[in-house]
Amino acid sequence: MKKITTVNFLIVSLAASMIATTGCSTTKRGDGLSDDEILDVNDIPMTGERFDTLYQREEGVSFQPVYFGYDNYQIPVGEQAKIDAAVEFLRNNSGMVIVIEGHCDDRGTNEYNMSLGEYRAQSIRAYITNAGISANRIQTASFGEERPAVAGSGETAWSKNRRGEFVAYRAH
Amino acid sequence: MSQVKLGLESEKSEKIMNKKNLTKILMFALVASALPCFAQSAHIRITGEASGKNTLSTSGLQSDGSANSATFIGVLRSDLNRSGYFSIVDVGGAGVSLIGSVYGAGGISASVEVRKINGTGFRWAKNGGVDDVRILAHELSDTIVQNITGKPGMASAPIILVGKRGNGSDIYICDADGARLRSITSDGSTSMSPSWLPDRSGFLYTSFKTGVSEIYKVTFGPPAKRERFAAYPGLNNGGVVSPDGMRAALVLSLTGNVELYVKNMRSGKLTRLTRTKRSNESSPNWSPNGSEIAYVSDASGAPHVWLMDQHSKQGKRLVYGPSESVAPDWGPDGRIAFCGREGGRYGIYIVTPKSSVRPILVSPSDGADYEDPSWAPDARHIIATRTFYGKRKLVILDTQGDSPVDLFPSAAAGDWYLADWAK
Repeated sequence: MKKITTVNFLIVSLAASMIATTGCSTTKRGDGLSDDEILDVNDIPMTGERFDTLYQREEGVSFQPVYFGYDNYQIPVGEQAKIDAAVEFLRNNSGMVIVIEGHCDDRGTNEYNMSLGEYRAQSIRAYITNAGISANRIQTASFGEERPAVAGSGETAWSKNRRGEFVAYRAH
Repeated sequence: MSQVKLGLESEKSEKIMNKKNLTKILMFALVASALPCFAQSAHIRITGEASGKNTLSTSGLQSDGSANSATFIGVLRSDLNRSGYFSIVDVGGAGVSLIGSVYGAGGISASVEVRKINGTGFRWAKNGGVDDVRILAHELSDTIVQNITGKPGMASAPIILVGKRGNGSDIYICDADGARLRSITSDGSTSMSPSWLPDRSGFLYTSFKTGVSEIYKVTFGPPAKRERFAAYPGLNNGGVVSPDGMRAALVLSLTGNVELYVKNMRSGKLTRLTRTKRSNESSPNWSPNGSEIAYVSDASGAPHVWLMDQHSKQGKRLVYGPSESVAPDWGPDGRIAFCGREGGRYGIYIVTPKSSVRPILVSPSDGADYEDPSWAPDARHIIATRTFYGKRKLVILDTQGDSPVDLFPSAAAGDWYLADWAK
């Protein structure tokens, strides 16, 4: 547990230094890990501690799910307004942060869908940061095909399961 | 098709019956009169589907009639049959005869001579407690397979798998024949992606027990231990330890992209292997010598199996043909099994890296989907998840043509998937 915290801290500090300098320094660290081994200039690094351990879940706030095409993590144009609503919420509530959950339909392997779900969540996260919200207020969590919104198979169920959901948290 | 060495008598009998060579029929008659049971055994060989297999008889095994000895002999026969290399014939004149005694009072005590028809053979003798009955039967089966065919067996290699219970899923382990199924975790949340540590001392798996994905390392001990292995922000999945036990490949998203990483088991140092802002990586799996990683990337537009040389950190697409290829599993002989999508169905294929041979389908075309393959240590069998009308089960496929076998034969056996066979 302690070791993991240290590694997380290291990544936060790496991320911070990358954001601060933008230039691609390659300072060697004591453990042999250099900045450029983990981060690229265009990355949007995650914060080091998980929101669910730092913040309290905000009940009574709900957002519409963002739906995706089959095996796709690009945000359909028709779904953008739903993310705009989340952007607006974050702008108006500076004490709030959100976790974006990525989900998939049950076609394809569980492993692949874990990555696909995460990519969907990351696509939404990138959209929100592009809209000017600080990256450290948005985290992601993938559930792959493990938590379907609608049971069963067939496009009616599948289209409701390929989704990104927003969960709001408030600082303690 | 089969690479099995035929026993002396079976070669002879096939030629006799197929070519109707008069001289050889005469010889056959002579041999048959010298060995009273031989004609019978030849007849069984020809009419059965066992051609290309060694005939094997266990009728020379004396038992004390105890439950343990019956279990031992039953498991041994089943294992030898499942190995794919033997046809159990229980008459005289078999290519391989097992002769000896099996006593089962309070445990198991077996002394077996394994005799080939040419007179050569070896002796195997072991004792054990009640809990060792099946373990020792598996061990003897693998010893016979190794000795007769020169190839490793699969009977002693355990399988780790995921079982669904209500809304949760947990990790289980069973023997190669599906017996001795036991529950390992009882988190009651979602568990997935179990993968053996190379020395079988434990495994890595992904758990959602804290609410998000984290990778845990479990060692059996005693005492059994579970430690958090990867809990970075975002995705933590696909953890699999290298054959030398020094590193683990895993999939993380801490940079804001899903990427492939290697984590040093001792120092915890992370090395990033992919930099693909616009593509998605999953399912890493090590080559037998640990120099390469097979993984899935959708950089070409659809998910496909790629290979990554760890030192150059250059990914190269391996599989062309099926419209999708996912879930690679590198076998002990260097061939890679994967799940391919063709005509809307998922099937299990095998491909040899650095060869121009197209991937070969090894799962039945029976309208079901076959996913998530894992090789047995014999480099011949593959366990995979079969899904038919929403009902999942685990089946063992034979890449040399024997029919698939259910891991759990009982009809109401539950919902099992994502198996990893210890290599």
